[in-house]
Amino acid sequence: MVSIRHVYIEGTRSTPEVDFDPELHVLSIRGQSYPENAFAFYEPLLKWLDEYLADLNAESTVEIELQLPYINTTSTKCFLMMLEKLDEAFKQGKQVGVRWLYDEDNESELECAEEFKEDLLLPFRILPKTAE
Amino acid sequence: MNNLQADTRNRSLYDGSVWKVVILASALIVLSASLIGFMSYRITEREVVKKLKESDLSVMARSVAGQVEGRIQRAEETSLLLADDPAVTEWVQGRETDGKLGALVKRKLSDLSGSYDYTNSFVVSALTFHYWAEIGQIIDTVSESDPDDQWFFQTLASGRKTSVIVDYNANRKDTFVFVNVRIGSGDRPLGIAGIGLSLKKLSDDFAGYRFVDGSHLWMVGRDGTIHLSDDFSQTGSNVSEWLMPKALEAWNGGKASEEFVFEGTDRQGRKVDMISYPVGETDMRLLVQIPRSETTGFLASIRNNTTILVVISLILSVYFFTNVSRRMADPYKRALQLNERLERMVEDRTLELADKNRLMTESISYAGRIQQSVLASEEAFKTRFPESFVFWKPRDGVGGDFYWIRETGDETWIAVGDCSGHGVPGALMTMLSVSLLGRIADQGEAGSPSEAMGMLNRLLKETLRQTERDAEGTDDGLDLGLLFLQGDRIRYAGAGIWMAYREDAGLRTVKGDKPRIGYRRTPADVAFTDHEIRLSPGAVVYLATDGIPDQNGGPRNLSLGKTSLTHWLEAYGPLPLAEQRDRFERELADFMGEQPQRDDMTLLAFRLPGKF
Repeated sequence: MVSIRHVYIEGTRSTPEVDFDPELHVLSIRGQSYPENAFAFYEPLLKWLDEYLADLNAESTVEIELQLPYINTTSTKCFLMMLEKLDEAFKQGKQVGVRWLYDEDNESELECAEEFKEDLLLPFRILPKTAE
Repeated sequence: MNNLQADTRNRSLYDGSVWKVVILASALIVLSASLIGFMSYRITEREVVKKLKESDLSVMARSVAGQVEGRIQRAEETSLLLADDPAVTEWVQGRETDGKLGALVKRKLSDLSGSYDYTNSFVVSALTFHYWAEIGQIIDTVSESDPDDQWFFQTLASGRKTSVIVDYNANRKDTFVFVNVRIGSGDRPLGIAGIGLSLKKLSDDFAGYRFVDGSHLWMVGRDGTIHLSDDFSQTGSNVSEWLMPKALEAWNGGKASEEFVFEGTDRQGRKVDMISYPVGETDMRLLVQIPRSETTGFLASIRNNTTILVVISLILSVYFFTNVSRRMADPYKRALQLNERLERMVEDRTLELADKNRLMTESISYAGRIQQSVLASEEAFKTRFPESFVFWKPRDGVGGDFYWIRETGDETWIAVGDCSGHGVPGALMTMLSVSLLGRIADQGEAGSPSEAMGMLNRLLKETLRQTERDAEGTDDGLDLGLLFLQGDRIRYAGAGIWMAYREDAGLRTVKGDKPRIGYRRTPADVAFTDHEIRLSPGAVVYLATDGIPDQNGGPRNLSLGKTSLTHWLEAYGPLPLAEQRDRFERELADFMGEQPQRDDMTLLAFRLPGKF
């Protein structure tokens, strides 16, 4: 676990804030995502996730917290890849779950979350932010 | 930036404020140093002159007078010894007949003048009126009728034991002081014995007393004759020749018997300080004159030192202030220079970029014309559907959204698509998609929109080589809504496109399938769903890409959402489409506010013939 470092990326106008904490097992992504080149942004995160999941033992409970008011098409693809990796880990018996906090006034966000959820087996809770 | 601005900026870099500070500070230092110098000069000068007048001149005069007085005193004592010598008394009483005593007296006389530096020594008898001189002979017989001999009779008559007579001899240019002492006591003196003293001998001493350049030392008789002077040539002249009127007036006006100090100018017009000092019992006065410039001469060194100090502190302060200010101002100056250079660079880059941007804009704008000519024109729609509109708004001049119409047999194919990417890559994808759709329509093998979409999915994958496992191919694809219209029957299949139709009953949306066309995730054999709808005459069909519901704006800057889009269009009701388009554009602009367009946007609407 020592080799896995804490990842924190400050949010910008077009990229979300990223906070992957391997100690607490909380990976959160918050904010809009519409960079011109989404792969450049998400590729290192996907790589990190591969290493993290490979090292992850079955006892640890991992929570993925998402708040994504808007993600463009290419970002969507990156999130699909990320969620599939998590789903794979879940299928291998690791305790991985997603919690998506959406803005109740943002219908697109809810739709987006629901679309993601459809293809996945891992626990995927979609909660309005006010419920927090 | 033009030259004027550059000049102004340069000036501001090297403005005079630093120098102003330096000059001001230097001026202050020079002023204060000069002031201190001047004050100390004035105070010292005043004190020195005061001291000169109150003590120095007096001390000088007293010491010189003391020399003269001492000399006369000595002569007096010697004269007394001579006059009171029993040998002399006896010899004179005996009318100078005693040869033995005479020899003794004569030797004494010659000894006095020879050994003691006196010019004369004499014994004059009141009995014989013989004048015995130092040579041991009678050189005169005094007579009451001879004016030259008056001194003898006057001295005898005065009743005083001792008298001093000062006699200036013009021929010898010498002043003689004669000390006369009566021989014998009581009312009947036997004669007079005494000593003559040449003051010329003192003259050398006087020259030695000359204290400073331009100073004078005179011993002046009652009539103003200078008996002694530090300058021998002045001896015998009158003091009035040497004093200027004002000084002379003070000299004459003052009390001869008391010392007093006065000021005047010498013949060169220089200021002088003088003292009049009485000399013993002689009726003579000493006049000491000292030029003021000599008294205060040493003050010149104060003045010079002050000047040197001022110059040194001036140089130091200029050096210090320029150095300090330069050190303080330098980083600022460097920052300004750096800023200037950066601005120039930015300027150059901006020009370069503007140039490139212009080229690119021109290129894109031309690409846009190509794209629009490949995409179905709005006119083509208008021909088929007189009441229709196409709101097509790529984000970057060209884009990934497209709309398309094709007549195949008795069917009309209508499509709205949203290819991955924006701008030029998106536009390339639209070219490909439209071209493939055209091929599918021409082949006539697709019996339904879902079949046509399946074929497009496969063709696209092949074209983009997405079926090859290890291919370098990209992961591109598109959202598509495809609609076959035949009379009042529509068949629709969609993926990622918002579709709605309005009839009398209101607006209804049709949900499409989830898999998008062409993307790697979508299997090559994916099946899409057809929706068959019979529309009443005058029904309106809307197709929109997700660029519209995904656009952010409004008070909370959230995405518009499909529900809002639906509400907008619902609210338009049966309004003519031209008017609906206007309202939609206005509402969209209001919603977006200052927010930039996120994605390419397309909204297509057409009305079937007839009225509902």
